[in-house]
Amino acid sequence: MRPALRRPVLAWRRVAFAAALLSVTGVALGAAPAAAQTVDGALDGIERPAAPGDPVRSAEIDQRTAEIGATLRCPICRQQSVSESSSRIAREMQDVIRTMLAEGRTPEEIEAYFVEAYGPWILLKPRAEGMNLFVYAGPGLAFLLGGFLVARRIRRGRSLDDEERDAATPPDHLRKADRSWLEAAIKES
Amino acid sequence: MLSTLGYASVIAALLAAAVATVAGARAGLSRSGGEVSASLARRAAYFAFFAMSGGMFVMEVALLTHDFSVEYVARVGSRETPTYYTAISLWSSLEGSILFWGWILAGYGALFAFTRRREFGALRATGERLTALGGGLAHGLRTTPLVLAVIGVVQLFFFGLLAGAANPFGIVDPAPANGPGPNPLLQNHPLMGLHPPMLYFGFVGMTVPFAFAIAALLRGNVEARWLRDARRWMVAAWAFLTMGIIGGGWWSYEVLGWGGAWAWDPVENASFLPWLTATAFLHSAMVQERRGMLKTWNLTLMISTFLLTLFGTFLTRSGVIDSVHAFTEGVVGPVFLAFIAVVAIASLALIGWRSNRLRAPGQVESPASRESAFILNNLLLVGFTFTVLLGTMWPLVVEALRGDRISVGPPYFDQVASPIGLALIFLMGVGPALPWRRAGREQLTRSFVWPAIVGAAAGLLAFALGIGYFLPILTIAFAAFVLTTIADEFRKGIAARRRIAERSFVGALRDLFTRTGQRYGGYVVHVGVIVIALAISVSWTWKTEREMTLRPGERLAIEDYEVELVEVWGREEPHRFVIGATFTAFRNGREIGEEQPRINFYTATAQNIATPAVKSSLTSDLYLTLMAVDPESGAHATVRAIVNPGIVWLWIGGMIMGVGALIAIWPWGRSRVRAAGAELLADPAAAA
Repeated sequence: MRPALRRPVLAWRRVAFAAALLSVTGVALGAAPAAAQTVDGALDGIERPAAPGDPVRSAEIDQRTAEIGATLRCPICRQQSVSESSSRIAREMQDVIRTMLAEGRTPEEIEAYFVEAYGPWILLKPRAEGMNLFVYAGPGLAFLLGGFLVARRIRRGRSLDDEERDAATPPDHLRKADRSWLEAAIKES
Repeated sequence: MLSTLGYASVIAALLAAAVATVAGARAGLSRSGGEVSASLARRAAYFAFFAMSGGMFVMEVALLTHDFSVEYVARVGSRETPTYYTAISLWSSLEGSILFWGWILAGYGALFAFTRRREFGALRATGERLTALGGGLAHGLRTTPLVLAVIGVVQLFFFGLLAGAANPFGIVDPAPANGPGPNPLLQNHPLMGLHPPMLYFGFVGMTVPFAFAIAALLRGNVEARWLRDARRWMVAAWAFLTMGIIGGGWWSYEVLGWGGAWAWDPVENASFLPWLTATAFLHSAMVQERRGMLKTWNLTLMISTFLLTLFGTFLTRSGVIDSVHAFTEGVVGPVFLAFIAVVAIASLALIGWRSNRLRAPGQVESPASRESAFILNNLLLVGFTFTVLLGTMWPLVVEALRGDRISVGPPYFDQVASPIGLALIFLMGVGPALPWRRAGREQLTRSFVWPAIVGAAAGLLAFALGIGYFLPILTIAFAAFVLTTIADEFRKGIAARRRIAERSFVGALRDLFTRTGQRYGGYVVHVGVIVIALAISVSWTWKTEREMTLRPGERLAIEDYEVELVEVWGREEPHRFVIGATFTAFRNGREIGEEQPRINFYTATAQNIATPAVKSSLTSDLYLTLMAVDPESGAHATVRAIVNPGIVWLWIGGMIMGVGALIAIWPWGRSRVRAAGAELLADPAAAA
């Protein structure tokens, strides 16, 4: 009945099933389907945890790994960075970053390594070069243009002399809230 | 059987929409007669809602009774899925979600007709009188049928989609015995029943202001009442959208397992874009209300907001962009794109045609005035919209032009959004304290000395307390500045009210909300935004994360928390396997409860979803994700622990925003009407 059993399954999944079933029946066994939480990451294989008692990793390298990982896309996820994803490939990439950092490579070298391997798509923040300059300059240009239009509008308003302005709109010194209270107060009295 | 019934309901609704469109347009545009057509349009709007409700009911029955001869049920249903998730799987795939959309759209149409029902009586009377004189409907009464007609056009599109390209009631013969069940991500957490409907109510609700805008353009008139009503509909839809976005963040936090709420995912962006333009409208509408300016601009914002909701739906439904939320089904995409293009071109043509009539008499007189602040606010919000749109679409543009694949992700958006967001927050403190027209030097000093001092003091205090980051210090300083101006506004309002009406403090506060709910409700919304800004800034700056492999009895320590692994376990449920680990959590050495992060394995679709365990408190959240368990012995588990400070305030801030919006649109009964009447008496210019 279980669809997964009807079609050929990867060996690891059979292992996972068996283990899960065993653990249900009370045998203290855990099973390990991949920990990936994304749709694409589902067939990602088993994550083998490091054996307990691994040498403690340097907190500084961990921190820098996380920083670099946050700028790289997890290749099988949707809009998740290598640092955020728990998929196997992302975790392997974290190991690569960690190793490279331990070897003393710079973040730029590590970035270049991944671009070489996966293409510029791997960078969550595109390099500011060529066509991509526009995605950085665009917002600035839009704000400049908008700011110019707004400033012109406000200046044009100011340049009207007082008489003309008073003719164009009736005088109005009260705030709306105050005005309505005033009206209500007059009515009540 | 159910299929036929459901399809018949859709066809009936389609016919009703056609009747509402034709009759509404006739009543709104023709120079003679019209009262009969107007009534017909109203009844058609009611009937469309009735028919769509029938369709929805049929679909729910089909889902809950597992009638797999209905195509949609065969696609998303399964006998093993729990009843709750079966009921809400209505919006877990394309056709069902369009059905839900259509139902809400019909509901908005009927609700609008209902709120204007008294008008139809008046309409008959004046209609008879005017027909006798050879005229059409009274000028002021023509908007209602026209709005119904425009809603009818949008209904024609969505109901047409349901009758054709996205028909959920297709027949499967022979009916399969079982189905795959909904997408595992969508049946993994009960919150899934909350934010999608909110988003739909928000998205679809933007149709009503859009219909107001088109009706106004057709008639070439935007009078005061039109604006007030359009704005209230917009606030309602905006509130739903806000709740939907915040709720979506909450869902993503509770389900996706990476410990955050917002990833600048294309579909998240798609819900944010109309929110930004709607927010811009809610502010600039006040300039029109007060000063009669920005008419064309406001119409443009209303129309853009609607277009962006369509665009967001296009992104989700067409599969052009890969996303957690995308349904990736291609047929509907081109149809949507065509509709967006038609609406955009028609709207532009209408605006061009009417631009003469909408020219504003008023002028901005000084940069130091509230209207300037609102215009600046609009500049920032629309610039923000452009930026998010650019970043979202850029990978598509590059791929189309150059064939290269690139990504534009969170690091980019965080960088560009932070300064815009900070500027907006700063403006929230400036705008409300500025008077209309122009502020004198002395007035400026009076309004801003204290808020500026408090803001600066808060910033310095944060620095002195050892906050070493620029962004949070700036956020805290701005937040203090804004909260002070808001408090000052309340102080002034309450004092004035106590003086004028001799009310008690509480009574005066109540008066502020009931008589001027739009303004003071707006301030409450601002407080919610500030709370959210602080939560974002704090949780991003001080989020800590640690990962460890533990054997039973071993502990992981992070910040003031500790977690101890108790056991690794597995459990079989009808529709999934669950593999989990039980941890005992401690805070400052005191036990705070048991946590069970899990990995759910959905058998029908062979997918794993890691479900984090979250222990929330007002100061910080402990967030555990199970990364791996050892398949051989089950004796140890790898867990990622994240401590997220202050993230709960994100949801609390969202709720405060919701309360503020509710205050702003609540029909406070006669007091509101009286206030509006008094306003009209005092300021006939604004009403003209």
